[in-house]
Amino acid sequence: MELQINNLVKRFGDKVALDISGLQIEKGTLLGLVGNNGAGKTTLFRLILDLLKADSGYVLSKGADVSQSEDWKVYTGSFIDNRFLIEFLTPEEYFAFVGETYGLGKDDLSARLSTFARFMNGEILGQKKYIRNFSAGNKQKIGIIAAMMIQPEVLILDEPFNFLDPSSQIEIRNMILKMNREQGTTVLISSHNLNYTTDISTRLVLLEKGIILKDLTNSPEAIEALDEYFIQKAES
Amino acid sequence: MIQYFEKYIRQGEPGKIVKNINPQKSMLQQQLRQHQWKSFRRNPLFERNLAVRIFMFIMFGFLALEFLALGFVFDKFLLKTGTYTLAIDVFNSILLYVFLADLVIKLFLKQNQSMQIAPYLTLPVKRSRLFDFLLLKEFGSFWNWYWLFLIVPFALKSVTPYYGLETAFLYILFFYLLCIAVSLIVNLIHSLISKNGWFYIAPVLLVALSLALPFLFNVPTGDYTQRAGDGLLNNHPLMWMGLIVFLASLWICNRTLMRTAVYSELQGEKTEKISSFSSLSFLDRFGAIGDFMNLEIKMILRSKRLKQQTILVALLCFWFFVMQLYIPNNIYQRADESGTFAMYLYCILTLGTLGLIMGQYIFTSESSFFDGLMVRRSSLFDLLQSKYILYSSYSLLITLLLLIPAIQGKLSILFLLSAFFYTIGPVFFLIFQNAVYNKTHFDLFDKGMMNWKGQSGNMIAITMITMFIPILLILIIKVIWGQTTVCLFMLITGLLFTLTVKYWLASTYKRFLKRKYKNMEGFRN
Repeated sequence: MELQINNLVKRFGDKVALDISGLQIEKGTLLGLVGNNGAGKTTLFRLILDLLKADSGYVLSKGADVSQSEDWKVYTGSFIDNRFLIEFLTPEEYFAFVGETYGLGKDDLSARLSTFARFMNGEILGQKKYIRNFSAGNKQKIGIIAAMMIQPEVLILDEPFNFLDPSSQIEIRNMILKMNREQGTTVLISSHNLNYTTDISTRLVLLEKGIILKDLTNSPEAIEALDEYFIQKAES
Repeated sequence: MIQYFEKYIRQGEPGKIVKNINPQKSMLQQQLRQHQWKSFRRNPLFERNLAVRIFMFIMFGFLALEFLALGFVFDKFLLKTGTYTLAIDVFNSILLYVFLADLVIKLFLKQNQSMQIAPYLTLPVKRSRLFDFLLLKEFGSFWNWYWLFLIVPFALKSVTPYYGLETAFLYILFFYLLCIAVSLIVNLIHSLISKNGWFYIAPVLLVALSLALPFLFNVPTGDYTQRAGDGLLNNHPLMWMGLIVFLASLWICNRTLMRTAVYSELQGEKTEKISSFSSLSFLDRFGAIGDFMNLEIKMILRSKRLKQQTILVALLCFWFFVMQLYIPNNIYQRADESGTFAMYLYCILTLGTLGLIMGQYIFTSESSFFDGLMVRRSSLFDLLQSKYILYSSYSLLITLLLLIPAIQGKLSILFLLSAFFYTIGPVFFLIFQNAVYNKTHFDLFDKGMMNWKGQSGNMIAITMITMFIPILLILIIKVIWGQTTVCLFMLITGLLFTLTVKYWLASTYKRFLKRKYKNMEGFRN
C-alpha cells in the first residue's frame, strides 16, 4: 500500500474541512480528486504532505506516519501552489537548488530538464527573469517541473491544469500518463477540469464538504455518474 | 438579493446611470479615504500586528515628546552660537541643513504613497483625481508633521514677542508647506530611482552641493536663508508666491511621473534586471548547508527591504562605532556606566548586525516558500545551521576589521575577542529563539525600510531581550567585579555557547517542530 488514510479529520474553527474515515491508494494508481470549491481537495493534499496538522487520524506513506517520519520526502514530488516556489530565484537556480537537495548532479539535472523541453516551450529557461516575474501559467509549469524532475514514486499535483494554455494542458496530461505507466508512479491530482481528470485517472474520488461521496474505478458509468452529480449541483 | 447591497448603495433615480467621468470631487475623495481606512483595518495582519503598532505608537510618541521638550529650550541653545541676536534668525540661517536632514531621513525611511489604484482605473474616475488623492495624503503624513512638535513651541517663543502671534502661525504654516515640498522632492527622487538606479546620484549631488557651497566655496548660504526668513517674517508676498509656484511645479512633476509609473506598476516588474550575483561557488563544498547559505545571500540581495535594512544598518553601525573610537572625549571614554553601556551596546550591535537584523526574521523570511521547503528532502535544521554560520562569518569579518583600531590602541584586543564570542554565543542564542515563535507572513518584495509588515510582538520582544539583557548582565558584573572580569565572563560564556551551538540549535529546531503547524498556518496567511 502506497498511501493509507485513516479517520482523518481537519477542522477550521467550527467548520469540518475534511472527514475521511478510510482511503487506501495502491502503488501505481492514478487518482483523480474531483469536487467543487471547498470540497477539501487541497486540505487533503496538505495533510498528506504534512503541511497541516490533523485534528484526528493519520496518513501513512509506505507504512510510516507522515507527521512522525520525514522519509516520504525522499520519494514524493509535489506542487500545490506558488508557496512552493522560491520567487527570488531564476528558474535555473530553483531547479538546481531542488535538484541538489535530491542529490542530482548538473548532468542529470540537465538531462532530466531536457525531457520537459516541449512543456517549457522556450519560455522558462534562459529568460533572465526571477520566478516572481513570470506569468501565472509559467510559474505553474516551473512548480510542476520541479515536482516531476526528481522522478518521484508519489506525485501530488493540485490543479495542474490551471493557468495553462490548451497545448500545455495536453502536454502535462501526457507527461503524467507517461510517468505513471513507465515508472509506475503513484499520482494524485485534483482538478476542476473534469474532462482531463477522467481522461487519465484510473480511479476517481469525489469529495463534497470534506467527505468522500464517491470512490469509483474509472469507467464510462463512473464518468456518467460524476457528470450527473455536477449537473445536479449546478441546477440546484 | 438586493438586501445584501441595500446598506452600500444609496437610493438613486431609477434608470439613471453615470455618463461622465467627473463624479463629485469631494465624494470621490471621501470614498477613497474610506477605502484606504478599510484596507488598513480589514488587513488580516491588523490584529496580529497590534503589538507592533502599539510599540511604534509609543516610539513615535516618545520622539514627539522629545521634540516638544526641545522646542521649548531650542531658542536658548541657538542663541549660544552667537551668530545673530535673535534665535529665529539663527534658525533661519541653518534652515538649509534642517531641510537637508529632512530630505535624507525621508529618502531612507519614507515610502512613496502607494500606487495601488489599479481597481479604480477602469471606473469613470479621472486619473488625475486619483493622483491628486495620493498627493493630498502628504498633508496628513506623519513625515510632514514630526518637525512641528519642535517648530510650534519654538516659533511661538521666538517669533511672537517680536513679530506677533499671526506671523508666528504664518511662519509655522510656511515651514509645514516646505516639509511637504521636501516630501514631494523625495517622491520624485524615489520614482526616478525606481526607473533607473543611476538616479541615486541625484540626492548625493544635492546634499554634496549644499554642503560644498558654504564649506568649500565660501558661499554664505546661511545669510541667504536668514534673509529669506526675514522676508517671510516681514510678510513679504514674494516669499509666499515663490512657495506656491515651487509647490505647484513639484505637484505637476509628481503627477506626470505617476502617470508613467502607473503603467509600469500595472505591467509588473517584467523588465526587472536580474542580479549579477549567482552564487559563492566555494560554498558548494558544504552540501545542503552551503546551498542554504547561498540561498540566504541571494534572498538578502534580491529583496529590496532586506537589502536596504542590512546594508544601511551595517554601514551605520560600523561607521558610528569606528568614528566614535577616533573622536576625542567620546562617549566610550566616560568614566561612568553610561560610557560602558554605550561601548558594549554599539560593539555588539556592530559585530552582530547581520545576525540581529536577519535573526529576527528567521523562518518568517522564508514564509513565502516555506511549504516548498517543508516537502523537500532538505532538513530545516541545515537551514538553521547555515544561518548561524553566515551570521557568525559576518561577525568574524567585522572583528577582523576592528583589529585595526585595536592594534592602534583604541580598543582592547581582549575586549574585542570577548565581544565577538559573546555576540556569536549568547546573543545569537537569544535571537535564534525567533525560529520557534515567528509565525507571520513576510513579503520579501515589499519595499521600504520602515515597512513593519511581517513584524510581530514576539519578534520585537525577543529582539529587545537580545539587545539589552546580555548587556545589562555584563554591566552588573562590571560594577561588582570590574572590567577584566567582564571580559573573561563574556569570553567564557561566549565560548560555551559557541562550542555547544549544535546542541542549542538542535533544541531550538525541536521546539520549532512542536509548533510547526501553527507557525506554517501563520506563514500562509
